[in-house]
Amino acid sequence: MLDAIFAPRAVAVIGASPDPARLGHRVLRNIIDHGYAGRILPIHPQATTILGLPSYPKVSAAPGPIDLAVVVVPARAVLDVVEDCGRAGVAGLVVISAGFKEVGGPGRALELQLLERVRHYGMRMIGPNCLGIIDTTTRLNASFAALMPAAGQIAFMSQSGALCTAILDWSAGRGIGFSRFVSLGNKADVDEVALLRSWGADPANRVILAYLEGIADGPAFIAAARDVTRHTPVVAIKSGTTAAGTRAISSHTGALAGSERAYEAAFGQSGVLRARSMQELFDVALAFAYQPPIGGDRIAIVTNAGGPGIIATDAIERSGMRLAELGDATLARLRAGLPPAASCANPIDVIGDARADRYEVALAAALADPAVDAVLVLFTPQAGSEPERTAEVIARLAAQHGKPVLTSYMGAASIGPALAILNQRRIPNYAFPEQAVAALRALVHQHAWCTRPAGEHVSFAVDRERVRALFARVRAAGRIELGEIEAREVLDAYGMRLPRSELAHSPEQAATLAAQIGFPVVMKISSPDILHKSDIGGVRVGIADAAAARDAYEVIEYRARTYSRDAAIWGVLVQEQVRRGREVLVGVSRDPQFGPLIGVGLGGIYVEVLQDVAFRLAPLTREEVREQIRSIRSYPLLRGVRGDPPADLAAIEDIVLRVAQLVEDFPEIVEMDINPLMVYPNSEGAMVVDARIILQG
Amino acid sequence: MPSLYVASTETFVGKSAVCVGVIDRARRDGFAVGYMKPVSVAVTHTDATVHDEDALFIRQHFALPDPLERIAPVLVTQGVVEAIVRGGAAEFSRQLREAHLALSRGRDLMVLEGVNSWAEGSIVDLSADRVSDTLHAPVLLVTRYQTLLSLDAVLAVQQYLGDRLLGVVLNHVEPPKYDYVVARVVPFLRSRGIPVFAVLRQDAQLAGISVGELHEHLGGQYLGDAARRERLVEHLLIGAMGSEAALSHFRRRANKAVITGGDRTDLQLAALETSTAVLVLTGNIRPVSRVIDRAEERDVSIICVADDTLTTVERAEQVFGHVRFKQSAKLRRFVSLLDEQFDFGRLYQTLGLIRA
Repeated sequence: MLDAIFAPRAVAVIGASPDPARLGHRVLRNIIDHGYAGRILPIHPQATTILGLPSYPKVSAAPGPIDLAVVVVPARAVLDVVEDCGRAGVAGLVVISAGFKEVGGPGRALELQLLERVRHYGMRMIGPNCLGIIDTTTRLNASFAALMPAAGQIAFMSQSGALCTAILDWSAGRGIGFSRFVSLGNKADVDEVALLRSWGADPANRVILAYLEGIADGPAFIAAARDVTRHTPVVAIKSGTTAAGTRAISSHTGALAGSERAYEAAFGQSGVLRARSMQELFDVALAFAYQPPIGGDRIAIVTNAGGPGIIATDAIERSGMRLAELGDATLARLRAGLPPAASCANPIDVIGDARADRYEVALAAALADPAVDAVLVLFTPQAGSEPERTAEVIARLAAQHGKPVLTSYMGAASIGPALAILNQRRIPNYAFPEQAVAALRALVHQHAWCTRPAGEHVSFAVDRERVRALFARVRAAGRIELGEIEAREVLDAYGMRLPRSELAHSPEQAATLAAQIGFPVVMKISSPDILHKSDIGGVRVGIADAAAARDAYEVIEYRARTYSRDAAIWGVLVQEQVRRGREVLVGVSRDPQFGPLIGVGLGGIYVEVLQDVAFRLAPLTREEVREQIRSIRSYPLLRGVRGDPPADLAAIEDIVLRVAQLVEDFPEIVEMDINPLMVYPNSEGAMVVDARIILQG
Repeated sequence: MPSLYVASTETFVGKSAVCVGVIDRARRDGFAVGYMKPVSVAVTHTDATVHDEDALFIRQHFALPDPLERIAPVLVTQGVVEAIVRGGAAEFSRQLREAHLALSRGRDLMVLEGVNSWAEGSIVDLSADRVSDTLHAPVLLVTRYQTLLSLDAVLAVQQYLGDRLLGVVLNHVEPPKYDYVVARVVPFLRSRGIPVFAVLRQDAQLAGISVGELHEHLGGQYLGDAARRERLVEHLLIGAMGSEAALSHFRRRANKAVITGGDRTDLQLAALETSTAVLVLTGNIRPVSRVIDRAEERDVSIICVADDTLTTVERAEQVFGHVRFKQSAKLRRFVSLLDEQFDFGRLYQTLGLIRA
């Protein structure tokens, strides 16, 4: 896949120029200078040779076959050269030229035409408006970057070209290598999904990194990421996560920023590790690139100082991993090999005067212990320390065991050569222990993801036709919001339990309906314009007789009118009063990029004040729902505290799965809320008390 | 030759629309129908003339041959009012009768469009009560039905008019209340001797205004295809929230105008994901080019205004729901609604009209 772009047999540079000041010159020079072994064909209207290579006026005039064309001509000329490429059988394009969608108006139209040409000829294209691509496995640098990165096993894609150049510069200083390095540009054709699939299939990439501003096709991304992350870790940094950041993204990319919650859910459900900072992105990447996969979450620490050992211990605990409990044999080995003042329990403290030999004893013992899944080695420069020799020892021992070893050499001035050794011998080193712990956690997370059981997709027997007919009626009436009675019918068709309720239009009718339903009843305002019914006094409970029902009708309607003179008031809902349970909310909002985002939380203050809601994207497996419910912070309240019986969790799962099925069956549902869902103890079930549904306008 | 006086007790209840609907149908049923607006309180001044906007429109719509001065013979201008206050005489009654007589000639039915309230016209001694009496025109009352309390006005009018109240049209009934109104309210009124000629559901399309009208009212720059000026705006929504909340907010209404700051790219894009008729961008800030592109993709026009959001909202609310009835799409819809719902047989019978 995408071999024409990353492993071409011949590359044409359209817009190659003899003038060193031109971008086309820079691109050609990069391809020539960095060891690309295939044929290189400069394309220029007049020149006969450029940088010593024979030049051709157009691709179709150059000797074929040519797999890849790099396009560095002004935007207005791009269509013609791409047409020529298509005719000449070129399979891959990297369009560096700018002046397309990013400038809007005619640029956008030009991009659509370009894409149409590309599709017509069955070509694949990176860009337009990008920095180019670099592949160190084929030594192809088809970019205008100033540097060629070292060979490595990290594949990096970025929606920001400028970020690419900055990272190339930074990584060169740190000695970090890449397998592939791509600036996606406008991603008219090849986007993050295509790259993910292509790179995931190639073992040369041990880890895939992505800087993302937005994802166009959410479900395709999730599907691709699920496939890839099973064997290759994917670490993403998504910018625009705050309110201000989101606005900046919209202005920058001109695309509606997907909801942060949807991204969080999408990454979580597809095994993509999310880095919160550029620092973390590379911290984690190095661990994956240099070290073998981890087998569990039990970490041993070897340190020559107490303080850093405790800092690391805290960080491990905090991030949900465990400090390994060393076996007796290990303890015996440590006691025999270390001085009496050393601490043999984990964290293993080889104390300040330790030379390389003491590190060797401790690290060898820890790595040999079957109760240890990974070792974090801490080093502080002290009198008598041997930073380089110690680094050699660590690298040698790490290579002998199949377990990850990470180091934190703390300091800078005196340890430079040791850091070079560690990097060269593929030991990821971190300036401070917390960074190393964050990297370990990513390894553990990846392990858990790869080993978790496949989920079960459930499908309920439902009355789809009834819902379809009802939606048709609502639309025929020119509405997009369902009335309460209609929303109830939908949920009933999907097998959810609801209390009896009817809509009343007068005090007398309310009294009659209440008598039919049976006292006591609840009465509440029915209006699409009043969202928080109880806040305006639009809900009354415990209505015990006909007179009270009449009064309640008048008061509720009066309050609603006072609240908003213009509100559409459909009537007053008279509802069977259900017994109290724990109030849960289930909400759906269709994310434009990712589809139905389903939120679950405890109702009332937990939602409104604490915003304690867990989100997942449909379709959902039973396992995902189970995990979603358990990830609510107030979950212990559902499980039962202080002698309360546990809530019927299976009933909540059931409702969430039915809702997921409903919104999958009917993509026109864009918003939906069940609030509250009354959940009863043990296995007594749950009842939907109130619901609203909004259709796509 | 019978006349029908179409009255209301408040503004914007659909009086003009009912007049158009009745004339349209009666003509199709083979009657020669004339139209008159006996008293005009809200008059329009142009450089050349002072005239009644509704009367002008209906005259044009039905291509009526009668002169406008006859169709709307009494214009209560500021000058007329001042003259009366200063002690002048207000003698329009004859003028009115003469015009009515002239218009009636050769016609089977005259439809008279009343004033907006029971009080209007009193200063020239031509209140609704008086006019319908003078011209012997039974009254069809058009009323906005909101709650049972709306019946107060109907019953009060009946007390005034007695037998001269022909019946009522209950307009703007919220759809969920329709069944109740038909089952309970209509029989109640009938029991009080008040026939109900039609129960009309509230209709977002009819209440809306066109994008073009909104633009004319707000001013500013219009970006987009002129053909989209005809598009109806059914709701106004304001964009002033965080990005996360925006989508859910905008999804609650279809065919809406979204009013938001020109710099709120995030909200503009969210609005364009939902059913939006027009984006009104405030603060004299042109949207980024990609918003314009997206709006074109979604077939949505943009109005850029210099006012701030709050001022723009206030100004837009002035026109909203208070629009006169002049778009062909709306007219067609109302006429067909009236065709379905209005008891024309009963109307003809009561007025003594016999279809040929």
